Parts: sequence; C-alpha cells; structure tokens
Amino acid sequence: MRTFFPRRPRLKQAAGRGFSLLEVLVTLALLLIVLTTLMQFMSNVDQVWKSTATDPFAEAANAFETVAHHLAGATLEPYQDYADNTGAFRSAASPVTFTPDHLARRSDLTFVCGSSSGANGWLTASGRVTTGGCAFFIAPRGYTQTNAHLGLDHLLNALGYFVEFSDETDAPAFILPVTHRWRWRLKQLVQPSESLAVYGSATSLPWVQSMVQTGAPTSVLAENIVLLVVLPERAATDTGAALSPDFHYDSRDAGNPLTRHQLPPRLRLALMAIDEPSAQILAAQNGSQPPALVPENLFTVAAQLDADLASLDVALTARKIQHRLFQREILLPAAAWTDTPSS
Amino acid sequence: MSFPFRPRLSRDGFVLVVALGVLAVMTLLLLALMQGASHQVRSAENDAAFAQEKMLADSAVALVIGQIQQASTQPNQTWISQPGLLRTYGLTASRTPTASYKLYSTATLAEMTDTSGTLGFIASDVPADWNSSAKINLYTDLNAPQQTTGLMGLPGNLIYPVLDPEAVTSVEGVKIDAGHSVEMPVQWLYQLQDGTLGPASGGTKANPIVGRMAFWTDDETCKININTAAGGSPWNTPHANSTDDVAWSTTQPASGEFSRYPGHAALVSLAPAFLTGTLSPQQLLGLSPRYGWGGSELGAKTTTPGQTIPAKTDRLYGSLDELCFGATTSSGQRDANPITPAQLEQARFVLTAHSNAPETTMLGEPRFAIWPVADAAQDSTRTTADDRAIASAATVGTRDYFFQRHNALSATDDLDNSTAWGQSNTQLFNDLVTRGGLTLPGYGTTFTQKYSGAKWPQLMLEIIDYIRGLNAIDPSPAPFVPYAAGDSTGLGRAFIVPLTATYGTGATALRGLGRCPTLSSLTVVFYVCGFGFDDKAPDIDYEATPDLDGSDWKSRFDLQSPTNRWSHVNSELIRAFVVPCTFHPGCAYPEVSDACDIEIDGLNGIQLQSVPDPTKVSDFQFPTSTNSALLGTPRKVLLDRAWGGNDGPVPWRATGELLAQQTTSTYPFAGVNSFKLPFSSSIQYSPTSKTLAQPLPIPSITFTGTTVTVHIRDAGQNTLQTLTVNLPTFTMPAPGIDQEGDHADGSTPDTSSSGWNAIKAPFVPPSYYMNLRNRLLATQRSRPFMIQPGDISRSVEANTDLRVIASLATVPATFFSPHPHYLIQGDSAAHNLRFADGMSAWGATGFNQPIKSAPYATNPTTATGTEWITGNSISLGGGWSTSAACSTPTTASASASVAMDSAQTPGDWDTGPGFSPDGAQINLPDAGTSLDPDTAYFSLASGKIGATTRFSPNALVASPVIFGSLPAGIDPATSMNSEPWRTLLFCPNPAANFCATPPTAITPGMHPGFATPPDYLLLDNFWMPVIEPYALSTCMATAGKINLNEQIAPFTYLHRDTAFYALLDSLRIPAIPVSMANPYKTAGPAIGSIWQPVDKETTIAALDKRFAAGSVDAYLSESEICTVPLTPLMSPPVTDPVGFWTGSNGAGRLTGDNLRELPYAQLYGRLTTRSNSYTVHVRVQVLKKLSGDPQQNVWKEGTDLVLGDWRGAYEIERYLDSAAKAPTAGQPLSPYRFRIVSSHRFAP
Repeated sequence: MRTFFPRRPRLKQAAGRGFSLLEVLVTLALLLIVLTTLMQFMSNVDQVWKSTATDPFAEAANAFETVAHHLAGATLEPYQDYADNTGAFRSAASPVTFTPDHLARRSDLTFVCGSSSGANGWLTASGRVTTGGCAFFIAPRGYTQTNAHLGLDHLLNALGYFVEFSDETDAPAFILPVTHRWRWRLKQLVQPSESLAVYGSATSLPWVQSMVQTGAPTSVLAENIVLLVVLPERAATDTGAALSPDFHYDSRDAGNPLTRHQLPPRLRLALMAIDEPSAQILAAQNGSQPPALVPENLFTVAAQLDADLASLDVALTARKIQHRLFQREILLPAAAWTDTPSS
Repeated sequence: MSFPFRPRLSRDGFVLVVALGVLAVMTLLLLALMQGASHQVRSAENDAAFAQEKMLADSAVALVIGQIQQASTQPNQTWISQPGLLRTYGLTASRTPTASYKLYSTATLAEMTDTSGTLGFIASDVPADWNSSAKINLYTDLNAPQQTTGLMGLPGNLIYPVLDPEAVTSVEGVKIDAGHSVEMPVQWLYQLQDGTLGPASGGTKANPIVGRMAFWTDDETCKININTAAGGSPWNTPHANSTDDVAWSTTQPASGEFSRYPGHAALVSLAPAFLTGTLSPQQLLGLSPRYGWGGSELGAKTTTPGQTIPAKTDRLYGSLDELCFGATTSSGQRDANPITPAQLEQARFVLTAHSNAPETTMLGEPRFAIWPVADAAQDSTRTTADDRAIASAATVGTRDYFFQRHNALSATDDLDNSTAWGQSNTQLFNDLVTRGGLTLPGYGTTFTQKYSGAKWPQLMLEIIDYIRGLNAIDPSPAPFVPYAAGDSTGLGRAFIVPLTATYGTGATALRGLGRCPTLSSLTVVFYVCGFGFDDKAPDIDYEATPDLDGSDWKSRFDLQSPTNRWSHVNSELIRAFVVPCTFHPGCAYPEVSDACDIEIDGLNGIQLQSVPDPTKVSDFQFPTSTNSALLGTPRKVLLDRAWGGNDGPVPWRATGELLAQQTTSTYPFAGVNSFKLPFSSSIQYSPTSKTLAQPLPIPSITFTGTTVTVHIRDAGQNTLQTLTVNLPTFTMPAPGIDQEGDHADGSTPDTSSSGWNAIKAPFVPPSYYMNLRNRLLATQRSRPFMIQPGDISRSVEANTDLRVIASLATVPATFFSPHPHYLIQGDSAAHNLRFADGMSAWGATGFNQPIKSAPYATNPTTATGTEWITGNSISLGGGWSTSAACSTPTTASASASVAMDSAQTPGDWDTGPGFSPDGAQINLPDAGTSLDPDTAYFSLASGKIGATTRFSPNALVASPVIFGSLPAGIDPATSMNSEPWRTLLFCPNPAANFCATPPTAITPGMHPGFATPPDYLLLDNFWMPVIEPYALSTCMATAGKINLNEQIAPFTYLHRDTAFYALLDSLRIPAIPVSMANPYKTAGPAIGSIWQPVDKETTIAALDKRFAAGSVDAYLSESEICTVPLTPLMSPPVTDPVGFWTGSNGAGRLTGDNLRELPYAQLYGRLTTRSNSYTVHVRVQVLKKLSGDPQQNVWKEGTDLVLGDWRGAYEIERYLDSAAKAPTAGQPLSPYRFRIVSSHRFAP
C-alpha cells in the first residue's frame, strides 16, 4: 500500500511548482500584519520626530537661547568722570566754560530695555508695530562688515531685540502681495562695528531710534513670538528696591542716579511663542491688522510679572492658541552693581 | 504537455520581488529611523556639548578666580601677581615665596599650588617634549593659531589668540629665547563624569572622562593700557642753566596738556607697540581718548601763563580691538585710526583696554592719598572737583584715607581730636605710626626697629605735614578760597604753621616742617655813628641827627675842605644792631608771605668793654625782649621772590619796607644808646692825598658774649619755635668808617616807595650810612651796604642741616656755631649774610655777588664739613668739590662746606629749583606763580627760566617719592642725636653710596637709608590718585599701572618688556657732572643738558635681574623700583653706574638728592606689583571615551571622541565690593569681588 503522503516526491513537486495562492495570501496577510505594526511604529517615530526636530517651538527655543546668550555679554564699561553741578558731563559740544564739579559714574555705552510701544516705548516713534518689551545694548561680538576687520573678535556691536508685527519681508516684492505672511516676529538688530553709533548721542532714545529706523538691518530671529520681556533685577541675594518697577531701564537716564551708567546684575528674560497653525488662523482672521494677543493692561508692573504671564497663558489657552513660555534668569557677569547713586 | 518554464519562474520571482520589496521598504524605513535617531542623538549631544563647553570654560575661570582669591587673602603675607602666577611671601627676611598659585592648568588641582619655595615647577610644567606623541594627550598649545578663510574660500591669515610671532619684529620688547617659539603649552585638566577634575587616569567605566580644560592667565597690568597711555615729551621744573631747563621754562605744559605732566600715565608711550608703520607722536596722542593736542605741542611751542588746551572728550576704548576705529564718523561709518588690524593683531600681546591695580600695602591695608583736601565743613569754598575726586578714590566706607586740612595757621587744629577732621587725621596718623610696627613681608623687620622711639612718629608727622602743605594756593577761581590764602593784604599767603603732636608717655614733642622760616644765622654788627671832639664841641651822632643830604658831613669832615674838623676828633660813637636771618626748607612756588615774626630775648646782654680801660663798658640799651615786624610782607614777595630757601635778613628788610612806605618804624634789634670810645691818638690824615689813615686809632675792645633766645612766633604771638644762640666772647678792632671815597656826589638815595626797588648809585657821604635808618632804606644795589666796610660784624650760624633745625620745636645752642672768622681779631667782617636773591652784604665770606653769578668751587679744596651722620665738624681732605650752597655753614674758604662723613661720603642735599642755590631743602613741588615766567626763577637777561603758572594735582605731585628730601634723622626725644644731611632714601644712588640691593649691614660711608627695612618701603603706605583727565583712580585702585613683575610663567622663554619701554620713553635722568659745577647755576649761555634719556636696554636688563634663572625673588612692592639703577643714555655709554653717581669726577656727582630721586618719583606712581585685571585664555573640550575601550583611564587622542571644542578668553576684574568697610589697623582691605568684563570665543 502506498503511503498517503509520499514526502520526497511532494517536496520535489512543491519545489517545482512555486508558491501556491494560499501561500502567497498567507504571506501577504503576514506581511500586512508586519507592515501594519511597522507603520504604527513608524507613526510613533514620526510623532516623536515631529515633537523634537520639528517642534513648532524649536525656532523660538533657539531664539530664546540666542537672546539670552547675547544679553549675558552686555557691557557698559563704566568709569568715573567729571560732571558739572547739574550732573552733566563734558562733551565735544560742551562750552569751554564747563566747570567740573564732582565725579560721577559715566559710560560711553548704554543698556536699555523696557516697553517697545506706548507712550514711553523705545520704538514708538519708529513707526514699527511692536509689542511687549525690548532691549538694546552693547556687546563685544566682533561683528564686522569688512574683511579687513576679521579676527578682531572684541569689536563692539550694538544689539537690539524687539517683537514686531510685519509681513514677510524676505520674499521678493512681486510675490509678497500674494504670499502675505503677517506675523509677530522677534527681531534682532546687530549694528556692525564699523557703524557703531552709540557714541553719537548722550541719551539713549535717539540712539535706539537711529538704529530701528525704517530700513535698518534687522533680521528675524523667530516668527510667532508674541511677547518679549527683559526685566532688570538685583542679584538673587540682594533684597533692595526693584531696579525697574515698570520694566523700563536706561543706563543713560540722568534722572535715575541709582541705575545711571550701571549694568543691572541680573535680567529676567521671558519669551512667549505661539505655534504656526494658530498664527495662520490669526493671520487669516486679521490680515495686516496685528492681532491683539497680549492684553494692554499686562506687563506694566514688574512686580506682577508672574501673574501677568499666568494671565497671558490663560488668555491664549482660552483662545485655543498653542503657545509656550520660555523664561530664565540671566546673570550679567560684566556688572559690578553698587547701590551708590551717581548724578 | 508541459507548463512553460517562464510562468513558473515568474511566479517564484514575483514572490521574491514582493519579499525583497518589503525588505527594501523596511530597510529604508529602518535607515530613516536610524538616521533620524542618530540625528536626534547628535543634536542632543551637540546641545549637551555646547552647554558643557560653557560650563567647562566657566569652571576654568572659576579656578583662576579661586587661585587669586586664595593667594590674595593669606593672613600676614603679601602677594604679587605676574602673568600665569601669583606668589605669596611671608613675614620673614626670606625672599622665597611661601606659595606659588598657578593661574594655568596643571594635570591635577593640587599641582596648581606649589609650596616648595622654588620655582622649579616653571621649567617642569613646560617640558621640552610636551608635543611628543607620548604627551599628546597631556598638553595643548593655547597659542595655536587658527586660519581664517580668505577671499574665494582660499586660506586666509593665521590668527594667534595670544601672541603673534610677528610681534618679535613689530613690537619693541617682545623677545623669544633661541630654540623656542610662540607656543604656550599647558597641561590638560581632565574632568570626569562626577565633576572630578584631575588627570585622565582617574577615569573608569562608571565615571568616565567627559571633558578637559586648559587655561593660562595673563596679567593685564603687564600691558600698555590704550585708554591711559599715549606718549608725550618730558618736562620738569628747571633746575639749572642747561639747554633743556631753559627750553622747558618757556615751553611749559599748558593746563590739560597731560602728555607733559611729569609722571602722568599719559607719558606711557604707545610707540613701542607699533614699531612698524611708525606713528608720529601727534598721531599717538591722537589715539588717546582724553589727552588733547595743543599747548606746547609736546614741547615745540612756547606757552603762555594760564594757557589751557581744550579738553578732549572722546569715548574710552571698550575693548582693545576698538583701537582700530577713531572717535569720529563720516557718513555713518566710523573713521579709522591709523592702526591697521594687522598691527593690532601683532600688538595684542602687549596692549589692553582694561588694566587696574589695587592701591593697598603689601599687607593689604588701604594706602593714604598724598593730596590734602579741605575738611568737609569747608567743602563749598575750599574744595575743587579734583579734590573731591581724590577724596572719593581714597575713601572706604566711612573712613577717609586722605588728610583733611582745616587751619594753616594753627599747629594743632588739624589734629584736634574734638573735631571730625581732627579725628580722621589723628586716626590716619596713628595708623601710620602703627604700621611702622608691622613686620614687613620679605624683610622680616619693622620700621620702628630702624626708627626707634619717637623717630618713626616724627617721620610720619613730617610726611603728613608735608602733605598738608601741598597745593597751599590752589589757583581755582573765586569763590574758592585756598588753604593758606592769607589775609586781605596777602599776609600769610602760603604760610603754613608746622603741625605739632606729642608721642609716648613722655609726650615727646613732634614737629612737622610746615612752610615756615627758621633761624639760619644771627649777626651782631657794631658801627660808628658819630664822633666826639677835643674842643668841647658837642658830639655829633648821625643816628640821632641824620645827615640825609650830607651837608653836615661836608661842612665838618670833608677832607677837601680847609675847615674840616678831623684834627679835633678824639673819640667815636659806636652803636650796635643784630640781624637774624631765616631759611625756609620748602623752596618752590608759590611765594610765601610769613605771618610770623621773630622775637629775640636777651639782646641786652650785648656789651662791649674797652681792653685798656675795662671800666668802660657799653650800654647799648638793647631791649630785653623785642620782636620784629611780621616777616611776610607783600614787598618781600615782590622783591625777594620769597619762594623759600635762604630768606636772608628778612626782619631787616621788613623794617626797611615800612620805612620806605613812610611808616614810622624802628629796627627792633638795635640798641638805642651809643657807646663813646676815645681814640688812643690823633686822627691822621694826609694833606696831600686828602685821605684819612685807617684804621682809626681806637684800642681793642671786647665783646663780652651773651646767650640770646630766638622765638619764631605766629601772628597771634604764639611761639612756634624756640632757638638758643650763643654769641661767644671775642676781641675786635674798633669799628671805623670808610674813606672819603664814598663821598662822591652827596646825592641822596631814593627813599620813596616806588623807587625803593630801583638801582641807585651808592655814592653818599659816610655819614649817610652812619644812620641805621638809611641803611635800612638801602635800595637794591645798595643793599650790601647794610654792613659798611668799617663795621665790625660777627655771625653765629647754623652748623648743621637746616632741615633738622626746622624740625625741632626747641633748638639747642649747639646747633649754631660762630662763623669761622669770628675769633680772628684782625677781621672786621665775619659773616656770610646774603639776601634771598643771593646778593651778599658787604664783607660776606665768599663773593660779594649774587648767587646767580657767584663762582662755584670747581677745584678741589680743603674744606671743613659737617659729619652728616653725627653733625660734628670734620676736616675733609682735598679732592672734593661741590656747589657753593650745598650746605649752609660757611667755611674759611670761598666755597661752602659740604656735608660728608668720615669716609668722605656726602650726605643728602637738594638741587635748588631754577637758579636757587642747592642746599637743605625739602623738594617742595613747584606749584606755580603769577610772576612773569621770564623772571620767576631768576631775573636773568640771558636765561629765561620761567616758573610754572598753573598746576593741577597730577602735574604737581607724581608720587610719594617726593617725600625723599624730608629729614629722616630727627630724634625729637634727644634732639642732639638727630642726624643731619640724612633724608629719606628713595634711590639706589645717593651721593653717599650706590646700592641696588639692600645690604645686610650698613658700613661706613653707606647711606643709613639702605638699612633694612630700606626707606623706600614706607612709600608702600601712600599713593597719589590719578584723577585727570578722568578718574583713573577709583576706590583704592588705579587704572593703567604697569606691573614690575613681568616674568611670564611658565613660558619664561617669552619676554614682554614692552610696557617698560613705554614707561621709560619720556623719562629723563638729571645728572650734573662735576665739570658743570661752575656754570650750572650761572648766568650765561645755557650749558649742555643735564637731563639724559634712559638707556632702556641696560635699565630693563637691571630691572629684569630679579627674574634671572634660579631666582625666586620678585618685586613685592612697587617701591622696590628704588633699587633699580636707571642708566642714562650717554655717549660714551655709562659702563660704571656706581662711579657715574659717586666717583669724585662722576658725571652725576653734583646731582642733588631730589634730582636723583626725581625719575623714581615719576616711575613709582605708574607701577604696581599686584593686578586686579587678568585675561584667562581657555581651551575646553567635551569628550566621550569609547565605551568599549578597556582603558577608560587613558585618553586616546584621535580615537576617543571630541564632542565639543571651545577656545576663547575671559577678561576678569577684581574689584572692591561697594559695601567694603575700612579695616582695623593691620588688617587687609576686603571683600573683593570679581566680574567678568568680557568673554569671547576665539573663532576668527
């Protein structure tokens, strides 16, 4: 009697005939299962990837680090010089009758921060649409325009940071009307050493205004930044009165003998970013009109900064705007703070 | 039938394709996943590496700061800084460091501090084979260059982070030893995962190596500060009739011309940093932010009194690289300075924008500012902005480290402990006294051991009184009131009553020098005032009956007259007067109007006794006690220049002035009675020659001798000084009268006030000067006739250093001696009575000419001298010559005596300013005058040496080395033990000796100032804040000072002396050779210059000797510059510096103590030995050790992973916390904090 399963011939036969439809179907089914699993895995990977490399706030995070890094390099180089009995220093424009009266702290450089818009805004007169705070200062960044000065890493530059609402300015003019991208943007201003203008005026406001006038070389550090806060503070161990109760700080303000020509020892830097989808929706809704995201009553009193940030968080959440707050204390190592007033 | 082959194959292949396809898709997906993941990992690692780089670099800086903090806060030790190293030295005489704190990385933290006392580590830390393959993971070159990218992507320049090798040729003073290059290798200090710092050998799998750091710290005070330096041309107060002095008199620095202020930081030149593309002096000055151009234009132009150059108000340089930009802009672009970026790169090693040094003592205590400031209560009218700036710099907390002056006319007010200023000043004085008891690091001894008892407090009081008297007449406009303003008539202007204090339980009286005269001599003069007649005719006494027009003389005694009465003259009437002369040790402008008088008690003891008839005794009826008018009259200022030094017979002049002003006055020191002595025979005269035989036939008379007491009293008649003077007995010929030769025309000298100053012919009848009033009225050229040829005059003169006499409240008679001719009976005149301008009274020893034209001894003479250590008189052998007025006592010869000791080494005297004689002066700074510059120093037709006209603090006072002429040998407890001609020693080349190294013992002939602790160390307690044009000096610190400790550790093969070249650039060394002895104070064409440039090479070589191989010494205090011989640049070169200054024919032999110390005064204020400013050059790497490597304790270069590499530099500054409080005496000033001025990445 012959066995039912003559093995060798069947094998031989199978090898010869290839895969059966069933085999293929099973294979495909298995493959489907594998691919499905793999796709699920890849989906997860993709999500992880997006959450990191393409983090909607990654640009903001980088910008925050840049601002923090540059602010920490702020310098003022104060020295003691003769002032007359009104507290004014001798300058090239001083009359020959300048009569020195006493020594006062003086710096040829400046450090300013505070509100960018509003009645006392640093950029109000510039015609720019800005919001929140801003900061302008000098740091030895060594940025130059000419090859001749390459390698001179200690050259001074004026730097500025502010949040401005504007259209896409990088796009070619013929495209711009079509591809409007109205956004709040964190702008960076770096004045090359060759054109450093800080020595040109004795007060800060004209200096700031000269730098931010239309056509000034600013660059976009990050889009969708809706708030920048730079708050000068005392050292952590110093319990003295607030240096800047209203966020305003001008090291050239002759009216403030305490902060005059002094670099604050510490800064609190905060930056609020929203995501691009939210920004697109806002742009669609508001067009060239700047969407009011930060209530006007906020960020006017430094003591309420934490509460104001929380309020802003609540307000943005309520409007279903994805956002993220970056904040940090920054030490200014060049500062040698003293409570001795100088006028 | 069979199936075709293809379908079967196709079916199998399809499956394979599907399978392969699936595999491919899966592979791609996996690859994408892996790539994404690895990107993520890399990104995360980069972020982490970046953060760790920053952390590592910060750690390196923190390590350096920790080292500096540790070194600078060691109790009872001093610290010094140098590039790469801080050293401490203990309270012993050892010059071996107690510890060396490395400011560069070593393999272990423990190695960063060396306590071996040797500097052997310097060599071992940089082994020759540091870059061998065996040590490739141990060392890195911090100066490794980096290439820039040039145009079109081509390689650009090599940029060196620290030292560009081109500097060797383009920068003066940068040198590299043969066999070396600019490499700066230091060891890596590895970091393990748990934070441990140390060698890589500590790594394990559980605690792997994660990073490493290498760093080296430069000392910014070893560089030239571009904000404070510029370059200038020398200027000094003229001291001689030399070409430079004469030129300087008319090209004085204008106000604000800092580049010619002696010793100012502006005179540190930038030129040595830019040898290539040489810049003109004007261009160099143009680089400076605050030093303007104009005025004398570096000495090329004549300036006018009061000339001011416009203040420059450019920005200060915020960083070194900013030097390539000017202060102006064109079309919005900053204009370029004449410095190219390439020049800047090459000079980077020698330039800085931030250098700052602490103004603390070796033991860390605050220094005292040497500029006086009015007390706070008088701030509104007596304090200038400059004063306030100095006060600000010298205040710590609530404590003032400067002298607050209140009352120039009181000996005690300024130290009155019941007032705020008095408390502050007393505390200051007490602190100084206390500091004398502190053991000094590196010397192991105290000043009170050297200056025992009350000597040290006396010295300190002299110093604070000297400070108190500076800037007595600040020329600031009203409503400012100068400290010593005087009254509305000018009386008391610049007059300062010496400050007094007491010391110890015995209340030993201490006294400063103030600006106050002291007695230099007392001369008694006997003169004939009339005659008696044998025919019973009434005596004629021309004192009682003046014969102004000579008519009486003509009618009685004219030899031409046939009726003359000589044949009836049988006796003469004699009167007497006394002339005190005074001396001001402070000789300089401003003019001083002494608000004091002279009271003499005991003149009634002056009597004459006839030798043949002892019963005949005079009674001149001198008052028992009488005083002069106030000495300081406006006229004195006008006529006698009144700038100090020898005042001459001021009380005499004062009375004369009153008389000239038609004010009724009598000379106080004259007897009111005459003494009648009969002739021994008839008067003889020749009828043919019509002359009277001389001498008159009067027998000898004896002065019976007496002792008088002289008081110097202020305007309130408070006694400031009491001096006892013995007038010994002597026998003399009778006074006579001059011959009729004087009776030329009988004209009357002008006595009107306006004509008093005029030169009038002295041709008057003898009767004219037989009247004291007429002698007092003698006009300028007639002044010598205050003593007539027939008078008998005898002087008792100071026999010692007048600074010693001026420093004592009570002066014993032993400090005065009779004139050498005093006992010579045949000599009618025995005095050396000279007016302030040098004109001598008739018969003065020496020459009857003004000092300005008096010959000076040039030939070796045998002279009598004063033993300058003991004060005893000694006889000197031949071979010596010196200027006539180098000391005041006169001698038998025409030349002045000299102050020498038994080894014939001279003591300390000062070269007088302008044409003023050399002598016992205290080097008062020249504060200017309103007199015409042409006449201020001396009215010479041929020489135009001007006085300075307007000075500001930093032009007036360079540094505390100006104290160098203060008497250091005063013993207030036993005044007789005081050592004359010994002043503070602040140079290695006093006239006495030459000694660059403090000797272990003082041998005969050696200046006692060398004895340990050497005098110069007391300078460590003082500083002159630099507050012009802006405050280079702030709270106990000064910017722009240059560190004497230039040795670069551990790279000792690199040499950077550029700052020294910059420092010495405008320095001049005054050296007056013996060959100039005759002309150097003489009118006439200017002689060659006495001011020599510095032989920089030789001088710097001498300066660097402390850092010779094997030496562990360093400059512990900048005052040790006073040990460095400064070699003049001369032709032929000076090869024997000792002989140059001390040899009998030495080219510097006639240089006074003040001029010998002058260059040191100008250097000291610009030097330091401790820095507040450093640059930390850092390289850090974030590392990853391959996990599979079994050797986790070995870093394998090129195999293991370097995740991050950061190179850059941090500028750090040590500064005094604003909350710092004044320490108690003996404690260091603290706390100090650190700030990071800037940090940048080296990424050209």
